[in-house]
Amino acid sequence: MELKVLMFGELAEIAGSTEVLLDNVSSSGSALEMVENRFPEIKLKKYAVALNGKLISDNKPLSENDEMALLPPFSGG
Amino acid sequence: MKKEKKKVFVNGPIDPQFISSSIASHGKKTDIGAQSVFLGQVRNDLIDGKQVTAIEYSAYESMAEQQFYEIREDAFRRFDLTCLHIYHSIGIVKTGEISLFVFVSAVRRVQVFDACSFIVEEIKNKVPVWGKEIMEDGTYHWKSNTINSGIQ
Repeated sequence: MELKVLMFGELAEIAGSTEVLLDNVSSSGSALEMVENRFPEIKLKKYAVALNGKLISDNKPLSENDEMALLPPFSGG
Repeated sequence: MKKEKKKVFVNGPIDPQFISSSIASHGKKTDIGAQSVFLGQVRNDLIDGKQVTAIEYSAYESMAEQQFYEIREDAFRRFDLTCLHIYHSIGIVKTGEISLFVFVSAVRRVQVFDACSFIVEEIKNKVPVWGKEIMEDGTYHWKSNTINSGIQ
């Protein structure tokens, strides 16, 4: 399955894009591994993972049209 | 009490004129006895010897709008409020300009003080917004908030 991973803040800079497309991905954990392998610098950064706009803390299976996002520490306000 | 999702993001700084007209428009609601306003202003921090001149805000907008909505719902559940308005900047806001406007109204004062403080902390902790601090020499630094409970 294809998955679009949205990148924000400093992570988007590291990836050189606000979106990373992955192929043959079935879980959030494997998606993260693929992103970190493609952009090793991300491993050194603190970030949270959102699936369809909700923070997740463990490995989740993915379905068609899911949207995953990597979120660096928030700094609004 | 309105419950629909409200537009929170404002492009660029929040105009003080807009803030004063928001205050003025609440004069019609004569059951209100107390209002509290929080204004977040971009500060000229010194980072590694360089002065911050502006912050460029970006957001995961769909998630942020949902988080703002949930914070708003939660605030109405916790506090006895008449009105609640939240506005946050997106894009560039220069030092001395306003990037966050929280406006809370209720019958009495205790509710608005507590609600305003609760809402601002919730925004800092739960809303996916990022600030890039732009320095005087054009370099930049990713801002980090003092507390970040959401992210390990």
